[in-house]
Amino acid sequence: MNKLKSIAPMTKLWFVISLLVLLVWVIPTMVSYYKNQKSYHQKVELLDSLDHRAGAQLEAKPFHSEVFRLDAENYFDKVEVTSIENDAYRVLIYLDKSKIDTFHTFLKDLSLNYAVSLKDEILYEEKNSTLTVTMILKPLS
Amino acid sequence: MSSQHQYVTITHYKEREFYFLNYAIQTREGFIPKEIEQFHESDKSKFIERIRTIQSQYPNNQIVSISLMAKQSISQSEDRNRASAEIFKNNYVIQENIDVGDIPTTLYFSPFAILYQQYKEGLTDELKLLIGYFDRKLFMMFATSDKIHQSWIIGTRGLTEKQIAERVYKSMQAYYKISYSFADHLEMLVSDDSPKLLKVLREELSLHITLTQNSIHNLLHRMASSDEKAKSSFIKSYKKIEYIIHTEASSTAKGEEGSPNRYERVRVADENLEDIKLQDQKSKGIIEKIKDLFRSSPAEMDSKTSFASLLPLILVLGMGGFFSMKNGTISNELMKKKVQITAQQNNLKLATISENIFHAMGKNAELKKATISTKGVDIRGLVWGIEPLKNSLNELYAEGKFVIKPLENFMTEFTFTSK
Repeated sequence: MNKLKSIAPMTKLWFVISLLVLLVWVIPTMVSYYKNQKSYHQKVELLDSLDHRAGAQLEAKPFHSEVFRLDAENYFDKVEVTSIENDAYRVLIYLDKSKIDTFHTFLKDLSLNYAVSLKDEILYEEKNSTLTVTMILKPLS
Repeated sequence: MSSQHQYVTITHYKEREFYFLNYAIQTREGFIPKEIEQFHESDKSKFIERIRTIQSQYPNNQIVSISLMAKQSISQSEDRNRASAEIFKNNYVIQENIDVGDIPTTLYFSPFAILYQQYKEGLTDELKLLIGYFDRKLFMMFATSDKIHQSWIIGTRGLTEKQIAERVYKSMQAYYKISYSFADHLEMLVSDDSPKLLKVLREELSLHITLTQNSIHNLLHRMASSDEKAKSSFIKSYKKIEYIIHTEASSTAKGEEGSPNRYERVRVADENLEDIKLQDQKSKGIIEKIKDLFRSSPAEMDSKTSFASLLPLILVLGMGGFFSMKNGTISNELMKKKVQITAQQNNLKLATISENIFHAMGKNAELKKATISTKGVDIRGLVWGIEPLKNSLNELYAEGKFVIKPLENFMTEFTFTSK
């Protein structure tokens, strides 16, 4: 007790401030960090369960219209990517209607391969056995 | 004889608001003290400067002081957590800490150690009470040749000689739980002139008291004159005190500095603590030199203390900053994963709906246009098998609206809209 009394007032004040900062800011931040970390690992596991891609499980790469177009043209006859309002892109995919399953596989892996979200609407039009699929993509920030 | 080789003991102590300083040239035949200097406590820096000057003048030195703390005791065992000094075999004097502050000191004695040195030759199996009177405190101990039985200290400030004598009497009884008369003899060592106290003590205790009177400086010079005495210092000296006979001169005159027939200390490799410090500096490696950059003088200790008091806050802020940064990063990553999962789940739903629609049409229809979302579908095309198509679509969307329309080219168009 005497030792405590002999501590300088400023030292005591700094100690009290330290304690307050610890209780009000540091500990809640730590708790939040560990909660978020746990939640993050759960989300990673959930995403893994949604991932049925064959081969290496690569992280989603940032969306780039030209790269996306070139990649998609490996599977389809023709792909057009047009920038539209609200930082979104209109994507037109031309394919033989017999290759609709390829499109479905492409669609299932879309947000795993690219950091994009798809507007909840797909438009199909068929002319002379060529299917035109129109969809709106929005890159994830 | 060069002052470089003379062994000098520099003694100092503080009494009330004054520092007292003295130094003496040590010879085999005794020491030759110089004049006592006095400094007010406000001139502490001058006092320290003076010590440094004497040190530089006589590099072979010991700086000796006395602990006048009221809390000192004799113990039969060493206490490694506190300052302790072995007075003689298995008899240690112990105090809380060494309180010399920033005043240079290489040997630091307890009055009990001085008292023992003064009277050790006369100790026998008979119990003796030894009293030392230093700085208005009585340092008392019961001793025989093999053991210090009990020790205690009495403050005398503000007391009359008679009151002091009474306290001595009472404390003797209280501490040793026997009558003082069981002490066979009393020896008293006083560091200042107090004939009245001695007279009263003699009268009150009705005992003959042998008195030795000497100044603290002289007692300290004597304590630092040999290894045997110096080893009872609280500060452990790492050097050996030795003398050699200076053979070049024949004079036996004692006293003057530079006198030719003086015995002087051998300059052994580690002559005194200050020398050790100097030699250490010379042989310091790079690491030590770097450490020196961060060392500070005692005068800077206050700022260090204030910095130390801020250390918990700095640590807490550092920890908070670290976790805040990590939390920001993980929150951002977590948000990305959440959005990606939502997008992926939505894509899977759309792909499944689309698969189902195309599967339902099969060979019964041909698509012209379709809008598919997770909320509903709107399909238009040509149909060849009306009933199978209708049934398949109604399986997917039970309340969907299936409409057919004959075309001019004998074909049938269908539309299907889910609700």
